[in-house]
Formats: sequence, C-alpha cells, structure tokens
Amino acid sequence: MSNPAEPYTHLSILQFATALAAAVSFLAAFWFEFRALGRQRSAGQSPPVNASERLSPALVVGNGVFLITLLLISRMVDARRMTLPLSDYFDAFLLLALVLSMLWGYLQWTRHLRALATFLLPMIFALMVVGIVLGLAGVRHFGAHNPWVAAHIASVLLGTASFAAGCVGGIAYLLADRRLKKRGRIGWDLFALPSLASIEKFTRHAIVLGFALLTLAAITGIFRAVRDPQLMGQHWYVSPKVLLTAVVWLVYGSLINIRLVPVLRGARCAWLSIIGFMLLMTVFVVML
Amino acid sequence: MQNIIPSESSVMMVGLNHRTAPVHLRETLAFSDQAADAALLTFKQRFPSSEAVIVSTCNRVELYVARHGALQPTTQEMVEFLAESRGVASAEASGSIYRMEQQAVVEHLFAVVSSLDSLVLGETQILSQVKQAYQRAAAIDAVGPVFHSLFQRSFAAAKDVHERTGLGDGHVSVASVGVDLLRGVFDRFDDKTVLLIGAGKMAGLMLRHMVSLQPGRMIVTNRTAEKSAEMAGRFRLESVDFSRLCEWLTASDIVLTSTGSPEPIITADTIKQQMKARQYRPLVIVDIAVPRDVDSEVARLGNVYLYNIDDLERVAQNNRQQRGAKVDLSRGIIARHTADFMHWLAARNTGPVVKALYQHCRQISDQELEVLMAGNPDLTESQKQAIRKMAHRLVGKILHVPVTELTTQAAHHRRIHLAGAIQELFHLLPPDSGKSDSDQPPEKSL
Repeated sequence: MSNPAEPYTHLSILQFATALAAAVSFLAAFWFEFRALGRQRSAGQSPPVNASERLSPALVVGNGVFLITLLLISRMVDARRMTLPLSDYFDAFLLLALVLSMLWGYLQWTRHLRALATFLLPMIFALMVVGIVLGLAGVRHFGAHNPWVAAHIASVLLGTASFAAGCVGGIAYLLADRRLKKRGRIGWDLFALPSLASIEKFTRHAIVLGFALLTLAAITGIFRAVRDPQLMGQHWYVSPKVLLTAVVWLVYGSLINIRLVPVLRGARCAWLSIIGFMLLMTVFVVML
Repeated sequence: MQNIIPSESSVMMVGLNHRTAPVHLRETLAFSDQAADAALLTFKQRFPSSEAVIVSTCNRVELYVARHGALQPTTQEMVEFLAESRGVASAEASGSIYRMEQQAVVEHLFAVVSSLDSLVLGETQILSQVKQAYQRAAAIDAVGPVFHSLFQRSFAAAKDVHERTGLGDGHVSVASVGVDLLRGVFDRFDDKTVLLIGAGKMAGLMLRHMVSLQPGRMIVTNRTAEKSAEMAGRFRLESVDFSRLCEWLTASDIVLTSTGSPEPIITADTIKQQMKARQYRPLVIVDIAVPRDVDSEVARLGNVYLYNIDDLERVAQNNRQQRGAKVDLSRGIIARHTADFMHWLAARNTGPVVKALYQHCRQISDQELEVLMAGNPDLTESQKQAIRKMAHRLVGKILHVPVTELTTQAAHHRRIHLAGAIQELFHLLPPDSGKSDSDQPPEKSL
C-alpha cells in the first residue's frame, strides 16, 4: 500500500495533543457510562437512567468526535486534498475511531444493547492510542490517490471497524456467559449486560458485514498485486500479510457459517471473534 | 381588628403495619375499597374541616389526616375512629398502633411510598396501592390542598428514590430470579419451548412467572401420567409422555424440573448427547427439586446454564443485600423531599400574613410616591420610573429579613406568635381587600 512518491503529512505537536485529548475523551466517557451501568444490575432490564447520566458520556464522546473531525480536516488541509485523508496509519485509526463512535451513538439509543456501547469506548480509546503511536513513529505511508488503493483501504478500514465491533461483542458475550454460569457467585456482577442472544446477534451482524468488506479488500488487494508485480513481488501470495489475511478470512468465514459448524456456537464463537480481531491487528503489524 | 392569621394546617397519622401488629389484627382492621370510602365519608361528617386518606394493604392500615386550625381530631380520636370503623375495641388495637404528627408523618409516608417500610424492600406494588388510596379519597372529596400536595410529592419522592438508587433493581423472590436468569440468556420467548418435569408446588409458582414470558410452547411430563395431566390442565400446558424425555429435552430451550426422585434423572451424558442433537442451541435448566434432579456436572457443559434452588436463593439474597445497602441513600433523598414539603406547608400557613404585610407597605410606598410626583412636576417619565423602582426595591429589601424569619420558623407556636406580632404592629387587614394583584410581593422578595 506504500508509495514513497506521495507527499508525506507529518504529525504536528498540535495534532498529537488534539488526538490525545480525543482519546482521553473516550476513556472519560467509558468511566461515566460504566458508573451509570452499575445501577442496572439485572440482565435484560433497563431501568430509566436520568438525563444527566445519559448526557455526560454523550457530551464527552461528542467532544472526542469533534476533535477527530477537526484533526481529519487539518490533515486534509495538510495533504491539500478535498477527500478523506488516508495518508498513513494515523489517519486510518482516526477514521476507525470515528466509525466506531458513530456505532456507539447508534447503540446508545437502543434499549437492549446500551451496555455494548460502553464496551466500545475502551476499544475506540485503544485504537486512538495505537494510531497516535504509529503517527508519531511516522511509519507506513499509503498511496491512496489510486482508486483501487482507495477502495482497498476503505474496505480494510470499514471491515476492521466491523470486526472491532464483533470483538467487543465477543468480550461482552464471554462476560455475560461467565456471569450466568457462575450463578451469582461472582463479585463483579456490577452492570447489566444484554441477553446472550442479543449479544450473539450483534456480533454476528458485525462479523457478516466485516467479512463482506474483508472479501472486497482481498479482491482489490489481489487485483493490485497481480496487476503490479513490482508492488509485492512475484510470490506475493506467500507473503506473511497475505497468508495471515487468509487465516483471518477463514476464521471469520467459519463464524458466519456457524450453522455448518454448530459446535462453534456460544463462547467458542465469542473467542473466535476476539482471536480473529487480534489476528487482523497482527496483519497491520506485519504491514509496518 | 380582624384576625388574618390563618388556621394552621397540620398533618397526622395513626396506623399499624407488619412490624407492630400480628396478622389477625391487621386482617380485622383492613379496609376494603368500599369500607374505606364509607369510613372516609363518616370521617368527613364528623370532622368537616379535615382532609383524610386511608391506606389499607395486606401489611398496613394507616389513616392520614390533615387538620386545618381546629383542635380536632386528635390522634386518640383517630385511633378510636379507626377501631370503631372496623368494629374493634380501641383498647385492643391501641398497643399496636403508632401515632405520628407533622414532619414524622411526611417522612413516614415518603418512606412507605418509596417502599422503604415494606416487608420486601424496594417492591413497587405499594406505590400503586397508595396512589389508589389517594385517588379514591380524592374522588369523594376527602382530600384538600394539603393532601393533594403531600401525596403528589410522595409519588415524586418515590420516583426520585427509585431512579437515583435503583432500589427496586434485581428481583428478590426465587421464582422471579429464575425468570431474570432466563432473560439473561434469551431475548425472545415466543419461539422457545418450556419443558416442566414433575409437578412440585414450587414448580407451579415458577410456572406462573414463566407464563408471563409468553413462551411459544409449554409442555409437562411426569412419571405419573395423571399428575402430569392435572398440571397440564391447571396451567394449560401440553402433557407429554415421560418415556420420551430425551426427545423433549432436544426440543426444549428451558427445562424446569421438580420431581421427587431420590437420584438425578438428568445426567451430564444425557445433556451432552442432546446438545449435539439440538445443534448446541443454549439450554437453561432450572432444577428446583430437593434432592436435585440434574447432575451438577451438567453445569460444566458449554451453552448449558444450570440453576438449582440454592443458586436462585443466592441471587435473591444478593439482590436483597444490594437493596439494603441503598437504604441510607434513599433516606437522604426522602429527607430532602420532606424538608421541601414542610417548607411549603409553613409558607402556606403564613402566606396570608406575608401577603397582607407586602400589600400594606406597598400601599404606603405608593401614597408617598404620589405625593412626591405631585410636588415635582418637572420630573421626566424615566426619572419617575426610576424612583418607583427604587421604592419597590426598598420595600422588598426591608421586608426580606422579617418575612424569611417568619416563613422559616419550624416551631408552630413561634410562627403564630410572630405572625400575630406582625399583624398587631402593622395593623394589617386581610390581603386583597380592595387591592389589585399588582400589590402582591414579587417572588424574589420572598
């Protein structure tokens, strides 16, 4: 995905500080939400939460989203292009955080999945931190001016956002499963979680969408590799990136065909959605 | 000089509850809806200037009265009325009856409606019971301005307590905890099958809760076909053959067992095989039999959630403890609502004196302004306006301290004493005697 000829946009001190402030906003929102959820102890029940408890995290997340938008605009100005900036990992992770924030906003106003929105916040924070670190290191520069590359990167990013949501669903599923299995013996029964069925449905939807986008990313990637042999070499299909991506694709492929592999239902499916996301992150590391 | 000091309103209550009276006495003193209406009408005839509400539930009977000025009824008369209404000698009931006045009544009512005084802490049924009692009393005009305010504030206080503390969160009965756990696994029940094995008493209780989930299919099986048929008839279930238990386990999503078997009837191996057959769809087993019907190893299997009676009791106990931990916070919220009501009541009782005082001072101020304006015809309109504003502000500032002193006095006799002194010193007339609304004091001055 790299193109050394592309004018590189360095991460300025101001951009770094803004990104850090945005990341901290998501962490603060997580804290607000976690406290509010502490009052909803029974699974499946959503007692009314007062306006200030809803407003506080919404305002803080709104602040984070505003800062990310500012950053993206400043990166756009830096790159002197009126398209979404996709210069490097920093931009990519900003966009990931923005997409997940939108998902947070959607979940926030659903009755049964509100607790899942809370779990998204640390994920957004983590992605922001990774983006900042990679941005500071100045690694990996994409050549997003090419439409194929742009399509490839966009599908990778949106697919990653979907899989991140699936990973959050998997974590929530394991926590809910453990709580139900322990039958009141555990001390961390502090927050209400949606029912296992609701979490499973959410995870499945996220994974199906992510799988479709990953497939699109793979097709565009293969097309580029075949068309431009210089890019990844003649034996591109045995490169660690491609092999790992294939494993990720297989893992998620098995998850969306759970009916054919029913033994993967439940906690195993949740574990695989987490492992799949970890593998996907490894692909990013391999690409550095 | 006409006395404008209002007849002071006071609130009182007499009653008994599950802590102070044995069940037979509570039963004897309990009012049906009709009996409560009849008693309230009698009470109104006997004490026409009073307001009254009777709250009667299985755990408490309480008579709330607001008295306006009159010295009657006294709490003793209220006790006698209560006993007489239900045909009980007052001496017999007297020992179990508590009596409260003023702030204690308000605090008690708010605690009752918020379910802090209930047998099951945090239950919400009491709120609707008190609401009904208040609405019944209001329908027959037994309620006036004081009780309208008091009871509506009590409902607001209860809402506040439940919203802020989550006092009612988590069920505390074993049967409802079982249903809660089911909700933790499934998001819908219209496509689920419930299998009941056995016909124990507890199973019937839990089934009643499960019916509320409206499952798609409910089947019952038992070694004794007659018992199974009897249970099926009672709860409108489908009775099925016990010898095909494995098939029913495959078809079911929720299994409720309550047999008298001395040995487990469901083993881990059985469930392992059934899980494969049912493509590992989640299975919840609630085993309320003692000794247990389901081998505890079953709980280790993936996608199987096994609960026995001890598990359910443990969750219920946790919920009870969590509710108990919220009592202090709830009491703090109630104290704030109580203080608000007492302040409102005090302001209401001293309102006419305050109004007359402001009216009197404004009248003097207006007269002096007229003299001033007549003597200075050169004043421009804006100058006149500025002088008027200054005069009004002056009155407000001078009266602010005495009025605050009067309205914040907690002691009834002191308030009456101060109000009397103000009336006498200023020669106050009843408010609005020939004056317009503009004579009323501005809100901020109060």
